[in-house]
Amino acid sequence: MRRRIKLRFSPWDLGAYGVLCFWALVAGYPLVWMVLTALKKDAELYRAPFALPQKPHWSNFVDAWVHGHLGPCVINSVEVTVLSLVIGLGLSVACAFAFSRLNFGPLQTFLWAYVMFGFLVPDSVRFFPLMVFFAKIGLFDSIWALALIYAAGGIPWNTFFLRAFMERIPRDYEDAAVVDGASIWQVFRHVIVPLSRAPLLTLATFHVLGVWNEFLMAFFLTSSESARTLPVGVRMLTGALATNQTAIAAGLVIAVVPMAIFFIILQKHIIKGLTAGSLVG
Amino acid sequence: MLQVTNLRGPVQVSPGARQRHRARLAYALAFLLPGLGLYSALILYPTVQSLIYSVQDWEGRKARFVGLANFAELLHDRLVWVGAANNLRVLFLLLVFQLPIALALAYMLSRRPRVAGFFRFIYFVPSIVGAATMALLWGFIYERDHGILNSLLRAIGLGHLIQPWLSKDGIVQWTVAIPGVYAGIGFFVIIFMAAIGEIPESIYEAAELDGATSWHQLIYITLPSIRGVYAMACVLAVTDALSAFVFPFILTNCGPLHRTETLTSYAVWQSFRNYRRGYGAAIAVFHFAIAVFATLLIRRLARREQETSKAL
Repeated sequence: MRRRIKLRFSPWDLGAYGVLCFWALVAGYPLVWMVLTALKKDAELYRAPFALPQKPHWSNFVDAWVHGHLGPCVINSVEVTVLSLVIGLGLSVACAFAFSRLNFGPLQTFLWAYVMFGFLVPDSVRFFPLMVFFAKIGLFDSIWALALIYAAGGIPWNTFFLRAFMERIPRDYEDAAVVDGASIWQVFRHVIVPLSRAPLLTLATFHVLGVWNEFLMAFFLTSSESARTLPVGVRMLTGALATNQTAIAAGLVIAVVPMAIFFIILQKHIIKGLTAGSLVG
Repeated sequence: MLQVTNLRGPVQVSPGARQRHRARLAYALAFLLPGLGLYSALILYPTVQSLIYSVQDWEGRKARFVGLANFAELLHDRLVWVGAANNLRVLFLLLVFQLPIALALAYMLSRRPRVAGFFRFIYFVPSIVGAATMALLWGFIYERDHGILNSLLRAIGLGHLIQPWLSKDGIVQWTVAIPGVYAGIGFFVIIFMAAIGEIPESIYEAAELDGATSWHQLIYITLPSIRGVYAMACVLAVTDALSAFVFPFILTNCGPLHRTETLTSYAVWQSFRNYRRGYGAAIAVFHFAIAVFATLLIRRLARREQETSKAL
């Protein structure tokens, strides 16, 4: 039963709405300001930082895209995100299957602890050896280096999350497949993976949100436009467009747009995913 | 044929069972190998490599074993403690502002389902923006002459409060920590709303029949019920605070004079900018040790909370 629908506002209610609206302003206004500033000329920004643009100044976006070199960064970011998503989730789902459906004795406990150890390792410990390693194998400043690092970085959490889900799939499903003569691989491919679609989608949204915005590894493992991702490209804007502040704002808008579209389209999934994630974690 | 039904069964000591166990192990390893291989190469191997660096001193391309000298130096390095203090400052802000604000907003929204979706959407937007972009946006907010904050202060007649937010010692340590705290609130609003949504409505109805005010309901039903999730949020806050890096790195380049370093950024600076990879690795290993200790400690506390919360 729903709560009684209140027909008038109590003072407490009014206060609550005040707080909610205030925070909406705090959360939303900086982004609105950013979009408005992106449409101004520099002089307008200095004269009246809060005013609306007199006339939309679209060339800021061209400046950010061309002189801020954001174009290649967007493409690199998409490539790195997709590659790391496919590799990372593919490997994790296989690991989770082994850990949850194949009981393989004492080694299992050890290997599980081995993978979970990855949760504890901070980036500060990994970044320099990774730079040396990728330089040695000739993949420094390559989107493959980043894609593999992100794929590997996701393995502990993805495996943990998927195993928790797979353990709850009833045995009968695979029994039925086995009676029909399915091999372990076929059970994996045609029973367990299709049943895990929901958590895989959840993890995919987590992965995209995390990887798209990752900064530290992307900064230290790339040195040129050929592999630079968007967060690093954004940091470079201040250098490339130092004399044109409003073009920097335009660059920030460009950087936010892909994620904003992703979020608006997948809003329900993302919120459901975060919810599911919080209940497992 | 290998029977999947038997895959989980106890291993019996008969020749057939042993063979099945072998086959099972082979299959398991086949599934694990690619993932574990990549994990070993890009998570474990670099960790071990850093441990090795940390007992070495590098000059150019030559390494010399120095035992624990790097760690001895680190304990007397003021900047290591400046970094640790800045991580702690972020943790303080997360625990005292981020989580309570998120909880308050989530609670207010959960009582107003008709507008909850709209507000939740707006609150979450800063969380998708990404740290690098958010940092530059806060650069605009803090900017000395035309920044949003100083312009706003001037406009509402509080001109005497105007500050060089990103260069004044004693202030800048806080200002570089705030954007991360701010950006994460929407994420926790969603988490807490989900947790509050899990509480059965019937409990509230029963309480209402017994004459409990909404204040009592908050104190005696809502808050105790979400203890477990709140404890988990604290675990995430510790992880977040320990990995603080992007905001000071972009906003102030960890300056002025290293005042806004964090443990991560200082380790990075020593190995990458100061060309002391041995010493940088030692700082990273020190950071790692703190992270392990803090994470295990807070996990243990959180688990106890979660168990209590389930028992209620």
